[in-house]
Amino acid sequence: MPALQISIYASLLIFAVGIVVKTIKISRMPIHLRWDLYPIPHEKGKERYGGSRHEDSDWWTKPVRSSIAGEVKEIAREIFGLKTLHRYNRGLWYFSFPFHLGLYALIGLIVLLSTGALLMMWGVDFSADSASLYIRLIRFSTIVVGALGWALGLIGSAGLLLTRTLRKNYREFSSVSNYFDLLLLLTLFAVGLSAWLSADLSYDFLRTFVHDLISFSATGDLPMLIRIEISLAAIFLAYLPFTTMTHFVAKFFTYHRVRWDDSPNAPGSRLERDVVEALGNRVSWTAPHIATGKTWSEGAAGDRGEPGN
Amino acid sequence: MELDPAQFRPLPSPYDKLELEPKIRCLTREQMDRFECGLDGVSAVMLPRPESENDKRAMLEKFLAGLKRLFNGHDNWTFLQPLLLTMEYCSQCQTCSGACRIFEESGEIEIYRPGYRSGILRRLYKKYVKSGGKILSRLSGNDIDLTWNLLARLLELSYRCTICRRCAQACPIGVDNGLVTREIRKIFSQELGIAPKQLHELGTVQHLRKGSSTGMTPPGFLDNIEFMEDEIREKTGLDFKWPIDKAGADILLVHNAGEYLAWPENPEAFAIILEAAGINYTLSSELSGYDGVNYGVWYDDMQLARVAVRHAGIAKKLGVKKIVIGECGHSHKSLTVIADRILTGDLNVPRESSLTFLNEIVKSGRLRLDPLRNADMQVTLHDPCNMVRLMGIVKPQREIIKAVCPNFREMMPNGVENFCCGGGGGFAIMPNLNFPDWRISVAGRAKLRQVLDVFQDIISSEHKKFLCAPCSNCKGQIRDLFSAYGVFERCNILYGGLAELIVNAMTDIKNPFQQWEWR
Repeated sequence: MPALQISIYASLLIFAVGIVVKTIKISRMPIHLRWDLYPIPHEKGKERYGGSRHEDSDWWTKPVRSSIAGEVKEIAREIFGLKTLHRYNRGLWYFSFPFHLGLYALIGLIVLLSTGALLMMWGVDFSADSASLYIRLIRFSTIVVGALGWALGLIGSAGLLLTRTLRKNYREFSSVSNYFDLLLLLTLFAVGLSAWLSADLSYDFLRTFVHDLISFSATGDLPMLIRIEISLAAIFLAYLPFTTMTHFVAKFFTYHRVRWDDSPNAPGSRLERDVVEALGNRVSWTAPHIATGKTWSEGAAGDRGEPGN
Repeated sequence: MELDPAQFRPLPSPYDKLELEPKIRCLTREQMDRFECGLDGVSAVMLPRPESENDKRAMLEKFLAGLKRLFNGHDNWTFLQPLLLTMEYCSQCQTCSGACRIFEESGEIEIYRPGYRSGILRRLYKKYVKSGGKILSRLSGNDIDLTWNLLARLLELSYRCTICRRCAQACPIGVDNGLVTREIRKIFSQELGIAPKQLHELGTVQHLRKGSSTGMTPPGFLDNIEFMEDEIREKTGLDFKWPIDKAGADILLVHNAGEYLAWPENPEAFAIILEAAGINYTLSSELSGYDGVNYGVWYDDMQLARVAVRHAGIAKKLGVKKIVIGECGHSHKSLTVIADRILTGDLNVPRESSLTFLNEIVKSGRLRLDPLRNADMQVTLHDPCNMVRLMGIVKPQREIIKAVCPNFREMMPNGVENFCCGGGGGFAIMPNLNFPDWRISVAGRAKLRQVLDVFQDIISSEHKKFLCAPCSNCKGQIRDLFSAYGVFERCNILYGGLAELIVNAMTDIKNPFQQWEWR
């Protein structure tokens, strides 16, 4: 099997394992104290202005009016519109939005290529001459989505890179990896766009490559630009889990588990059991006023703030 | 580095002249020799310079030990998850900087960027806590050396942020630089035993030992109550005893004890309202029970937990159905939200905001109110960060004001996007050296701008204007801010709490309760 295919299998494995390990590590961190930040979109009827159940007298006696739809709507706005960036940093949004849109389009391209590859595996005629309207629609969508992905990604990453390089307040706070990440993506988008324009306008090469990947069959010769494009994609996939670009994982936790986590500690609840367990941790901080060696419960309950208590 | 008011964002009229700008005093040579002030020429913490290299080394070792504990799940279960997410996923987009009023109002001084402070902690974490950090830091170009100067300046820098968390609200990823401020303070307090005297020794420790961070003892509290009963009688003719330590009452009302000393009209207003509405409540004269503050929320998890447990224990002993928290933002957030995951079993006594509670009373019709009694002034509202952005209490205070004040106008922005008063994070009670000057000129600047802007069409002193600030710490900051700029004299803007406005509208009270005088 050609090295190119093996590198894609390897990078997919690294990507999947990396993301899963990262997600598990974050989700297994101990329960933390509440650190709500409003507005919280699941506060039904109050999310528009940032209100909460604390606005209601005897709120703990009233049924929780929580709206999953509110959260889904907010998350959708965040993912597809970069709402917060649009609201608070419009200058950066003009580049970050096409950049992210480009990435989503490329995910769409992979889905469309995989769909085509699967249909080919099942013996469906997927050539440009296919009589099926659906096949022609998928082929057309693949071209449009792919073109949009490469172009938007290129514009966005170039803009972000220029912003980071030219604007002092960004330049001074950017690390080597910030530049490397953007350069890697910029190169990938540029090569992808060039490969499409020069060698694979109908995506037949890439679709065949995906087909060979799915069917575990050796792939044939590919034009040089497409080989570079695939190699870069493999590098990017394998590198991604080790970067801040995995904020798509982190964001679930920073939003759902921190700023929107307003679950009250109801008596007898699972949450209360977790809190009791956490309060059983022994304190190892060593300042004089800390109850070093005691549990958090003992430290919090039994003293008047004197040293050593 | 010295701060020059000329570089700060200019204020609107009548403070658009540099000569009206209060000065940030320079420290004396002796002060500079004794205390660390290398960050910006200001000293909030009054950290003494170590006497020997050994002392410096010992501090650095302790700091490193604390840094490692901060990123350990057993030692820092309280905030590990949000902290690590912040450390690992910031993409340096600088969106937080635009949301930070201290950075913006200072004229964009780099060290005040929310990400600057976090960037230092992040580099230290990556180098000294993560495995292989020393090599990777060098390779990535993010190397940093922990020196005493860096440590001392980082400590000071953690007291240049009010932890209003506006930066976190603006972060597209959910990174929380406000939390980082608190976590830096925590290393110093929980490992090195270093915190501003007013927060720790005179704050939480005094609160737990003597009963109040104001120094007020239980007998002192009872004397104050007597004095306020007399004052109510003199002001209004109403003659009633305040319920103290009444077992089996429905409600335990806990004020910030600073109110009793600095703004007694606020607890007096509460007493009048609750008496008129026939509420079965009590105050507590037990140690710490009459002071709702919890300074631990700003710097130390253990002290936070101790104060919260003390408050809950008192409520449990009295057998009340709920605790109602007076007009104090940080005591709202600490007892209702943060301590929610500290108080278990029968210590988990329900807690409610006084804003919600007062709104219910106003809406119930149990008080006879005439809003025209407040018609001689234009009123605006300050949203305390702790109640609004950090607890989601937005409407009740507005509904109350609209019910009792016909001339209400909103400052912009407001609600969950409000600007901090500049006294948050413990600042309002920290009078060390020239820190109050910084707090007024830099931290409080955005709030002053908002207040001037909202009343700009009637800014001259012939119009009476009122800033309602339902939070004790905010009032402390606004008092100092207005005093430094002469806002009452120049613009006739007074400030005060919310309960006072309600009582001022009560038709059963003959004379105006709200005195139009600067105190």
